[in-house]
Amino acid sequence: MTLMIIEPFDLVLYQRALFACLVIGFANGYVSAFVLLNRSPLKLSALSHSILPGVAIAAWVAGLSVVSAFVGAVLCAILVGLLAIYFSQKSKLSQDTSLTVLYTGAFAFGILILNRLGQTQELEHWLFGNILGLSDLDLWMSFVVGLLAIFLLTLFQRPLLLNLFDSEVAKTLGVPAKCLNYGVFTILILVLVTTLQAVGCILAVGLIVTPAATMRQFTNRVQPLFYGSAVLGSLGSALGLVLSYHLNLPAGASIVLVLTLFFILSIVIRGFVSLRQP
Amino acid sequence: MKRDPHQCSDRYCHDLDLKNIAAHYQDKQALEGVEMTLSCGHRLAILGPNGAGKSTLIKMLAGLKRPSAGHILWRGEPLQQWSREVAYLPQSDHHQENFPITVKEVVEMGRYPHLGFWRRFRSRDADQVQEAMKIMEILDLEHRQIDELSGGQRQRVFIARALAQEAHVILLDEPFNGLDVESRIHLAHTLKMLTERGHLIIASHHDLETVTQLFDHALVLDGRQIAFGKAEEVMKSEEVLSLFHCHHYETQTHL
Repeated sequence: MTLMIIEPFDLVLYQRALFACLVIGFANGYVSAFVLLNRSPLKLSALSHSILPGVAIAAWVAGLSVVSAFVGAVLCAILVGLLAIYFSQKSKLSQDTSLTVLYTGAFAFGILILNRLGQTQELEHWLFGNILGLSDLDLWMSFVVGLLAIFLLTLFQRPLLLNLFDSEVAKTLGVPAKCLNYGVFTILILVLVTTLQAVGCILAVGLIVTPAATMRQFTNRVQPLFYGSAVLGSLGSALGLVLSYHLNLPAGASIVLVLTLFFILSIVIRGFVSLRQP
Repeated sequence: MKRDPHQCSDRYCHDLDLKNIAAHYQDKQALEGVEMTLSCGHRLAILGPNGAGKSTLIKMLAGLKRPSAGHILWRGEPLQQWSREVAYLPQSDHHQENFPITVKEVVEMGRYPHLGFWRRFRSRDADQVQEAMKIMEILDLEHRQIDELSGGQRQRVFIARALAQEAHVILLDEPFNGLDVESRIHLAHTLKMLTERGHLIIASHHDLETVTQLFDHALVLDGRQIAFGKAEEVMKSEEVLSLFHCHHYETQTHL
């Protein structure tokens, strides 16, 4: 039975995909705790769509390669994210409103450019991901970006949590809230872009939101939330990959579906425990 | 004898000076001509109708907004140089809801100005947190989630955070809002106890009937300074009576 489950990992292709799942799942899970506390899943959803014109312009200017697409996506997402913050500060609009306007415009612009270029096949990889097709460079990028994100979010956890809990009080205590907001936005975008190649821009949001939403049902403490979500993200991604092999399903969709099932299960267990409590 | 860090003795007692303070929001003037001096060991109520500039003044004292004119001095120097000695307490439901954080962790946040980004929590910090919770009688709540507490209990936690910060000046935004009678009485005793320990308490307040019971000084605003002084004298002054009578009348006729 065990041998049958791990059968796919005889193939180098699946060994690499498993490594990617563990690394990307762990990093996304850890970051998902921050996304949950920051109440920003919708913003991330917006950002994941807004990278498309970056990929399209990169393909137009330098030809579609992993590096050009990565750089284009990062620059575009950062530009849209920072512009959204800037516009909301300079106007009477909320950050969500300016972000929604910018990301839908950016997504539409990206589709137009890619259609003009005739790159719709490559476009599918960015929309739905291809975890079995990751190159060495992709794996290294995921590893380095994940490590950097976990390191920075851990290092600055004290001011970050203070800022999330009550940003006005945080400012009076000397927390540089604006710098933190820009820094965190950049980290989230980097993690998001490394995830896109694995599961695509539409499913990536599930990976960066669901683990913490699940873990939150079982803990009221911040540290277990961060590390528990990371482990959950990692395990869920690996399980999704194994299932995708045995059931002959797309890997990205299987991973996100497993994480979603974990979430539904956590709600059921939480409800059951609440019922049993006096 | 070892000094109690939470107690302001004469040696540690300082004046807060506001010199001709004004504030603007973009081009619109929100406040002008605020002048007052008050030392530790007092409770000041900031009063005024809606839009009078109460919150603006509190935010300026907290360092969240810069005055467009004038100076705020503490120990004879600009207040921003002593920002760690000023604690700001917004209304008790101002923080993010359902945040997974315990009472003790909230009080520990008060140590941030002393620790910065990554300095380790030392035994002195732990002692300060413990002492602050003891003073505010919340030791039994330390492992509870902040959102499980009542409004009155949360106020005590946030005041404990200010004490852990070793703040001399404690700024409160409408602290009695939304509290039940028992919590109001408890908070009134707490504020009195803090002034006896030497803290300077400054709170925006809207209930005119309780001003003289809860505060010893009052500052009345209406876009500018209407009156400042001992609470009993201020509340009897003709300008203040006429301001509030006028606004009371306006409110009633609008209703």
